[in-house]
Amino acid sequence: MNGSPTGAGSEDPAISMDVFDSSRPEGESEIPWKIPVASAIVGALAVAIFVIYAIVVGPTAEDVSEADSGTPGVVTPEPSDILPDGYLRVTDQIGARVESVEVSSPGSVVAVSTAVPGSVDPVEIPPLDVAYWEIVTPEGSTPMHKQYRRPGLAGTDGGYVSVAFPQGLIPSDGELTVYVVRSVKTQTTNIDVPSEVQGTITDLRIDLGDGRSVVVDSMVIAPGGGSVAWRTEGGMTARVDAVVTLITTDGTAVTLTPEYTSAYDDALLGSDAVPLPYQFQSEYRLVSDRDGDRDIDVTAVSVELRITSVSGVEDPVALSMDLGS
Amino acid sequence: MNARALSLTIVAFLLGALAAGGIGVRVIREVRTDPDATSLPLSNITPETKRPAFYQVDPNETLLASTALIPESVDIEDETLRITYDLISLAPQHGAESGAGTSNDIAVVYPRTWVVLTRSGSVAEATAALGSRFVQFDVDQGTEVSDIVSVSITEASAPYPIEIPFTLSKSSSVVDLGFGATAELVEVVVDGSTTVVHVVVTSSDERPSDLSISAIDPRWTTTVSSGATGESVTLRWNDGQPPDDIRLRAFGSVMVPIGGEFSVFLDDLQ
Repeated sequence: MNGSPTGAGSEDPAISMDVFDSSRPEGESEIPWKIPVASAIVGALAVAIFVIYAIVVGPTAEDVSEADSGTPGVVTPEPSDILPDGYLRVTDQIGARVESVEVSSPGSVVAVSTAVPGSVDPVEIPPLDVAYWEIVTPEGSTPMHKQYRRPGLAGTDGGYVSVAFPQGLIPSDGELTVYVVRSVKTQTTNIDVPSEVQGTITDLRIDLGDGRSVVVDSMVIAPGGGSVAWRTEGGMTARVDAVVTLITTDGTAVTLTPEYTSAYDDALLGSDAVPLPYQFQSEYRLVSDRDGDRDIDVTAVSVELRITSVSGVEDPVALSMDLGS
Repeated sequence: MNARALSLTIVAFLLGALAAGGIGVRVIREVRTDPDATSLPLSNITPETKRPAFYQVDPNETLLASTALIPESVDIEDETLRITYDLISLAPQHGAESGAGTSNDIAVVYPRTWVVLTRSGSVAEATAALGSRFVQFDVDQGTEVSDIVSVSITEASAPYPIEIPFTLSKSSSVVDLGFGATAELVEVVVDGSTTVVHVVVTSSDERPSDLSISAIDPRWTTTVSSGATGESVTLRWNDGQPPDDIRLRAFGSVMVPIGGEFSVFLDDLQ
């Protein structure tokens, strides 16, 4: 390294001496200080004008959000692959949440909504298929009376499920436990009924195996319509859809189908639209495809019972009924 | 001016600008985050946000149960504030056409009562019609969209499926079905071997239900007609003397409240 005072290459010692020579009387400096000072003031003023402009005119809220996106304490939302707040996962892709508990004179209802994460297309996911619900407390459990899904075209039911319990049987400290269907058995039973046995069939028992059965307590058959009341035995739920065919003297057939069939579209016939919810018991009307035509001579009657029974359930998931949480 | 003076002038200019810039950035940050800086235009105030860290459908969504409410426009004309929105359901709906469950479906949720707070401190409340995709408020003259401080939904409900069995008779002609709905036996007409019974189902304005009625005994034939006050059902019995008690079931949808107050985010539309 060169230690010579003149070893700084092109530096001129005379210039350095001129600049830092404080012995020179004021006002006699060769440096034009006024211009640099004025320049600094002009620079500061220019920036100050910009700052004032930025404050008064200001960026949009969107600009603010974008500008602040990296600062702590400011949330920048992102698309979610998790369930909405408060929803508990009950299947791989469906969450459920208790929305309301209603106690009324005919019975009590727990209202449940279901949702998929925003990253999942709801159209790709079948509705939640629940075998049954029960309310669990430290004192024990109360099984559902019935569950309902909103009938209508697929995609318009809102994912809402109403779970009904007998009046007064919704404790405030309970949890709503859901048992999702894991497996089902389907069975179709055909029964030929003598034509003179139009009227009421009672206590018809269909064995499903494994100690389970469906009991038709009452089936009313008439040309103008009918009704069915059924229940399960063995502690599991099922869907039981009765279709009655009446053969008339002129050889034509009159068909009686469940009243809810039209509301559920093709769900009864195996469509993947909106499945009927499973029940422990049900009672419904049978409507004739010859609406209002009661004066028909019948020569033969056949009954078809389409039974889908739950044979296995997933591990239970408990939903909080504390609506304040 | 020689080269030396020119260099000094440039350096001084930059130093001055940098100093003022540093102070200016600090001032801007203070103004943006100071909650008391309300004398400045609203756009200069960082909007207070309660949005979750993630959204499901849209960054501006408000989740009402499993349905996302997304504001689409906000306008003021002739002292009427109008907010339009879309409702997109997150419910599993396999079997529906892609895109169903959105704008064209029936109402999947009912954002009924809305409240708007403006900068002047005035509060406007409005009720949206069932099934609509907009809500309108009466606001003070001169109110502008930028004057809106907050919008919230204070009452919301969703249509839940239900079946309610009940019994009507001459001695018990009115039944509370719950959920704001009532069934009443209003008339019994006997004509020879035929008995005609009229039943009316009504629901409250606060909880508009959509209930149909049918008799459980298939020997009753049912004719349904809808009116302004509710649904009227005519039951006809043709087989002589009908039973004293008429077993019926109401089925359809009832409105169930969804608890809580929900903030609506209009920042991007203001």
